[in-house]
Amino acid sequence: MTVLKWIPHLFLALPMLALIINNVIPRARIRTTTIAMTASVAGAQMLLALAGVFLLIASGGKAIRFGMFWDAAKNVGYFRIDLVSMFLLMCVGMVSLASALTALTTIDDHRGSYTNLMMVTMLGLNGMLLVHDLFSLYVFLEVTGLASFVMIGMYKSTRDLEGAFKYMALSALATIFILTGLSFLFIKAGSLSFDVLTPALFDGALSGSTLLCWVALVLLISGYSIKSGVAPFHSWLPDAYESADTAVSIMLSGIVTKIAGVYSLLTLSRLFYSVAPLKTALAVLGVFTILVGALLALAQKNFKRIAAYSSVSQMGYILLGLSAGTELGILAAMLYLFSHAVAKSAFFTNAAALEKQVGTLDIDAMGGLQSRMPVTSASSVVALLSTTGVPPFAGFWAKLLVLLALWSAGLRGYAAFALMASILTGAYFLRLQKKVFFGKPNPRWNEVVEISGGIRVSEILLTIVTVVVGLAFPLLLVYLQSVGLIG
Amino acid sequence: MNVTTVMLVCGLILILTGCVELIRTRHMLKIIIGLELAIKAISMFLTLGGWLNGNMALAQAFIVTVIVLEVVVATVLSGIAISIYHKHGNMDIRNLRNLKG
Amino acid sequence: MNLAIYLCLGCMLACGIFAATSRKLIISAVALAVVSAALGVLMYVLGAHSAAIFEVSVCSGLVTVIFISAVSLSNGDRQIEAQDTAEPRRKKRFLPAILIGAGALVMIAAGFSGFSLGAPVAAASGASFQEVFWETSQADIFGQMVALIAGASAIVVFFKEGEDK
Repeated sequence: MTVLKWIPHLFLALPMLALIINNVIPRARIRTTTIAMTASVAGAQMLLALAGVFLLIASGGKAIRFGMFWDAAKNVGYFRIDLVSMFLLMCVGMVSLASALTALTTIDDHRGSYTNLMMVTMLGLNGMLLVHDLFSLYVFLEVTGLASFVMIGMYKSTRDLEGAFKYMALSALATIFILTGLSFLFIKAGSLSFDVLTPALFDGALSGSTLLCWVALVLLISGYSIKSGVAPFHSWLPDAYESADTAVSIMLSGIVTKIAGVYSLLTLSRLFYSVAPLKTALAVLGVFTILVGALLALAQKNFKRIAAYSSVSQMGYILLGLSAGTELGILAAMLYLFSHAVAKSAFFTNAAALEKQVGTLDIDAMGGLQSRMPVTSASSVVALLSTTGVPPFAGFWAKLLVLLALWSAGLRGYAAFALMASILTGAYFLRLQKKVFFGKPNPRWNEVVEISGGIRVSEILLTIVTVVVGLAFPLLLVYLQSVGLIG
Repeated sequence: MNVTTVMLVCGLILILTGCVELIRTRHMLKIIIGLELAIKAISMFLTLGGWLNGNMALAQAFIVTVIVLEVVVATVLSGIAISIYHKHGNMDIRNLRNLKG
Repeated sequence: MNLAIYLCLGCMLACGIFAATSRKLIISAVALAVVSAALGVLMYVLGAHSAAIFEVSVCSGLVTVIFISAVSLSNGDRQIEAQDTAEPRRKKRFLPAILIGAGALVMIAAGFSGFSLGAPVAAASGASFQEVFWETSQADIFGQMVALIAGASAIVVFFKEGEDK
């Protein structure tokens, strides 16, 4: 029991410690080990959270509240951790580990700044998952966004700054929407703590402050959708992903848009679970996003841009899972988030490998690389199959659960649509694979060798995770049923 | 015609002005002005909420936090704007057309 | 008290629209500072004393200084809109009138439909600002600390003279 008590504190204390160490020790000495420090903090977080999930289930699955720092006189316990948060903390750790492993190779300059910004991003993400108040959620959301902009623009090349600026401008708009929504809710409810916000806020005649609450809901959904890159607010996403360094793209696509956007929408739907228009709005947004992302991905020529539009599209599936509004829906959304985080991180790691060894990301210029870069090619194929939803990989189970959740919640049309959209997903990925890895070998690439080092380790790890989770998933379902988490 | 309704409407006008400014301007630094205007209106809404609910202490805590965060955002935005200025020589956002597709 | 509130609101609105539509950046910055001052007075009248101090000192002071430094560091006051033709200038003159007209219409509609937010509740029950800020909302303080660290890293990254790629 006591182990479980101090695990949550570590999620905030470890990155803080790493931040202090990174800045106190003189630059020259820490230069070689600073990224290793990032990787170890990320790995530690992943393992701790994994242990935490099982411990928490074993102790009854209730939420724990705790406080940091000096003793609050009222001892309110302003941080809280529950199963969903613990699981997502593990995802954060995993994606950060992948990013740090890639950064070992791709980031040469500004290593100290990279570590600083990674620690700040992790603090922001962990903070988002640990708070009990909608306003604090916004505070940590803003912190994560800040660190992301700076990471995108870190090398100050023209393209980096452009992507960072576009992201910032749209993010400022999202901030305005979210804050306005929060202040309207505050006018009616008097407090923004999760204990106080209930669906009862929306009852009653459509006048006065209740009208403000509905407006607030629309504004909040719009603001969080901008942050998560859901269509029609997705325009900043491809530019930002493409122009950032690949290690940063892994972080962004693997976890930042997910936690920043999707977790906030999840919190909204858990707080206001009986407000029907919320679920319909999420479902419609989900469907629209899947379609827009997939169609735009079909037309792209740059490896990273295809991955970016694919991320947009997959976010729609997670939204569909949330819109079902049931426990199964939330479980499906979480699993989809996990499998997509793994697959997309693997995909961006492949992009880093290609960039390093081949030197270009234009898929028309590549060809037949499978014989020269077998590890990268295999990892890319696994990621593609998992995202499309082919058994026995993790993505298949995730998609199946989403479809089941939609079906059992009565949203049958959406389920059918989601199934058919998988064909589009397969289409653009197959086009990518054919052009890059299969097909006739382009004689330009005869001297290309397979990538080695941190990127290779990361590719192999992520592929193994996808395969293992996919194969072991039925066991996982049985285990969850035995502890009573799903019916 | 309550005083509170007047405040609400004025705040909405300010937010709208800020958002329109943010979206339609061509000068990078004016985006910061639009953002700041909107944040002023939001601070006013928070004060209004605190006044209506008698919870002024919480509202003030929110306002202070929002102000701190927006100062940091404004600083980072101007940092990026100045870096872009050093590359292109002016602050026109029509320069940011390199990434397309 | 109502009169004070109306005066502050009018000042904020006028200077706000002026800041948005003005062509010279320095004038926009000064107008923004005036908006902050008016908002500070409004907050004080409504009872938020600590927030009023913060607003006036930080937004009126610090943000204006940051903004004017950015303008002078980049000589960005060269007017980009000077390349516009005469027509957009006419459109811009209409913008304040449109905004105020729309606002007046909304207010009249609200007055007729009985839109009301309820009367202000008597305050000063429960915790004071200091207690709420330092104890109950400690998560926010933690967030602010991290945000300041992020801002410091940003300044190091962007303002450091060095080789760019």
